[in-house]
Amino acid sequence: MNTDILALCTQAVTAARKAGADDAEAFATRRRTREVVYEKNDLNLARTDEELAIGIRVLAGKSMAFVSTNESADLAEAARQAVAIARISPPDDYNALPEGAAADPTEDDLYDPAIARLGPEDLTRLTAEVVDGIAQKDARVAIDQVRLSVEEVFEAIASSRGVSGQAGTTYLSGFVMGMVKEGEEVGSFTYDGAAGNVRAAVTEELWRGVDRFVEKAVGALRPRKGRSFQGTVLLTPDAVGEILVGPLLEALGADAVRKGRSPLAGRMGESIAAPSFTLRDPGHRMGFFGGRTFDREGMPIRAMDLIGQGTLRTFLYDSYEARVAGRTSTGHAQGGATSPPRPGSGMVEVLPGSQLASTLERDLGLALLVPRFSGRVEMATGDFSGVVKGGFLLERGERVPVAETMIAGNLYEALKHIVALSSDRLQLFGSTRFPTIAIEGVVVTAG
Amino acid sequence: MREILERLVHNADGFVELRYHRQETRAFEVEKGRVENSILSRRSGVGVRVLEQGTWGFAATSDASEKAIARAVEQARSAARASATFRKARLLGLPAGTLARGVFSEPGYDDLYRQPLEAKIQLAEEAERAARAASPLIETARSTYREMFEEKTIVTSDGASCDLKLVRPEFRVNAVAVKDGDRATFSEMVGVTGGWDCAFKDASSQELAISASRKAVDLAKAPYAPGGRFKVILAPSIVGLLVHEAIGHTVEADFVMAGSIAQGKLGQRVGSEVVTLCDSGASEHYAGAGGTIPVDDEGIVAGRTVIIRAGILESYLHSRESAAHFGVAPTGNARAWAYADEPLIRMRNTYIEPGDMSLEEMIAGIDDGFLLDGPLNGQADATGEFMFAVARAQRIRAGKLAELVRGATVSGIAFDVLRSVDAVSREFKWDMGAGYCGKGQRMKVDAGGPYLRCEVLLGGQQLG
Repeated sequence: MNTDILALCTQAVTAARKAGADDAEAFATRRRTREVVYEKNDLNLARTDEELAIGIRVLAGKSMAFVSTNESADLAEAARQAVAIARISPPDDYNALPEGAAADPTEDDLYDPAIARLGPEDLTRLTAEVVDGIAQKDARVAIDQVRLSVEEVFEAIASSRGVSGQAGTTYLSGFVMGMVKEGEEVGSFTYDGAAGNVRAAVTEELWRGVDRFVEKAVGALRPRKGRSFQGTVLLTPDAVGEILVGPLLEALGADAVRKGRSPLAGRMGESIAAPSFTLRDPGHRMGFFGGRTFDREGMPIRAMDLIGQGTLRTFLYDSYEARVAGRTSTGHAQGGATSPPRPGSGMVEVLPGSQLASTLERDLGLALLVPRFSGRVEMATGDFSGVVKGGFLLERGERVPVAETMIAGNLYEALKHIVALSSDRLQLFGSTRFPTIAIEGVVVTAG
Repeated sequence: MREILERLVHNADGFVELRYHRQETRAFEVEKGRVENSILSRRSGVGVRVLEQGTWGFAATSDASEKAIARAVEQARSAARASATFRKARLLGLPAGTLARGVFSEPGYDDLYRQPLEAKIQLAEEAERAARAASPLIETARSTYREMFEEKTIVTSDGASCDLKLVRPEFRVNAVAVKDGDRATFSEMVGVTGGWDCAFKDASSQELAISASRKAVDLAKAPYAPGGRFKVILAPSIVGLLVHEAIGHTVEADFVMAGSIAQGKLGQRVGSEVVTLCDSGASEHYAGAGGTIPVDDEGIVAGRTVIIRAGILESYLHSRESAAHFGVAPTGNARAWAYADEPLIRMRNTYIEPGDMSLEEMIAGIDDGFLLDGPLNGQADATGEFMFAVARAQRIRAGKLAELVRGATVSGIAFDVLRSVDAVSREFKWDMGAGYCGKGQRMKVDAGGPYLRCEVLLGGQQLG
């Protein structure tokens, strides 16, 4: 464990108090990265870097400011500037730092020495194996990029209100993207991969990701013109994240509620989705991926349902939003050393349904399978519209690849029109786990 | 700093590129009358790139001392050696291009650095207030002022040695209107390379705020767009998105080498005769373009590249490595977001050259179509397939502007759309300077051009 960064945070808090801050909090991150990138049909780059960054949040009366720096000799100056900016910023009665109750400073189970030991040679070898593996599965696949990286991240927090904590984490991640080229024809662009804190599990998942990548790339070749209709779309876990869960988490942020941007404001305890839909924050760990043990303000992270059986259970609160709403923080302060905390979600999952995704595909009748969505979902209104990437028309159990197909609908209506969730789920890049979801009433426009 | 870097390079074997980069960002965000954020951040360090056994190695250190940089050079060499056995095509040398020497400084840096922070907080507060006051239908408004000061020193072992300094202020204001329970949102934004005189030369921050609110109110009761294939006029904001996302990325030489749709198409017709597409390190036609760079991050002077001339694909965008591969001169497109990032091929200011028609003449030539303005977001594949969302779509009926609709998205194949262009306006505008491009790293770019008349697939909330 890097105890020096906790000491640095304590020094920063002392410096801020000395500069005139009434309260101060410091959050530091030391990050060591090794990365190997294959692109342009060759091993392109091996890199290594290390950075220490610290962010100082200060209160002068009820005014707040934040300064971050990676120049560690600059600590006293950064603290002085934070106080100076706070003094010229308007006050807010709800501005304060959270009290004590720091996370367990000895929590260290996300640090896998087997990942920490991986050097550029190991990553290069694994990258070469992935490239060879893809070529052996299907020589038509043109690889745009394979990127493997290892990160060791040490985080620490200290404040004048008694918060003090530190944790170390290792991440291994692998990412592949590309498309199929066959003569003049170029298939739809696709990607896959894996990330997590346990070397053996991530490596295993990466190979499954390679299989999915090749299957998606090849499957989308020779698309035909689709059909226009209003009806059912089947969202793969990728598309569930893009269309449903990503924007929904934004609307669940207590800051969006306070600012009048979230249409979910005032709807706590109400039914907002089909009863089959449960959106859960799994807390500290999910499968082979673990998040922080404490949030950006040092508050403990715990499991909870955000939407349980279709009912809105809670918004995502950091300490400021909790104070405004008269509640307690849910441990959802996100951010790092270079940004002040704000509410958000770390890890999230949608609970599964009862049938395999392949069964849903077969039994739905006419539907559009959406592997990837390239478009926009407007959180404030819920309106979404965009193009389906690598889509398939499903009819009488047959899969037909389609090109240039657009879908449009409304997120908040779509949640109520969920008709099925698959029993099999995908843990995407570590931090999310979703099933395939069928939704009715979406407008599909063929090009 | 330049002396230290030159000394290290002088003592090094083989090709070494050292880049000191310091970024200082100040950001103030106001929403619903509250200052949500007052932020200052500093980030500095040295990025080191070496070519060892024909393979790149990269290392970065936030410690800019001579000793730490020398250590980073060794780490970069070690990383390169570790991966060299798996590299198929060894890079034996780099074309020189026009290597930069001296001091390069864009206007506005010193004035804006000296300006008190109070004035910047006040600008954000007043704009947010003006947006809320513009209509009783505005439920909430947010304004953000942000400025980034950048200083770089770039030294390479084959002769580049320069210092750079520039500032990029950006301002954005967003309003949410609610009318009879119907919500709509609209944003106005501006981002330049230069000072406030440049950023607010066309409209003040308060004028932008009022405009955002009025447009949000207009959209709140607008019906949804229909889907289908239409003849449209793309405003400079959408042209910017089209040329950046849908075309510019496909002609970045690293994407070309990976198999983008532009591969093998040099010398072929990819657009109609009225289309000439360029990418420039300078702010062509109109001052302040947000992606302006005098020198790229490999130390190459950043000039103007004609990508498509009168519809014929003429050049890709290059780094030194890709230029070596294609046997051409580098185009000054290698850019790195921060010191810890390696240079990648990125666009700068990408635009279509203006034509000779007026917007009115172009509208008069459409029987049933749309004028599309206000990009919301956009994405494109290496296949040239693109999609972007449009904030305001105004119907054109019988050669005249008619009702406003919302919720429109545009998609197509980039070169197909360019081939369908039949008219280009005289009016010209940079309109992407407040945005960032994402390609592994963030990057400040700009894009724009004239109005273009073409054919696209429109996606909407109604079946066409």
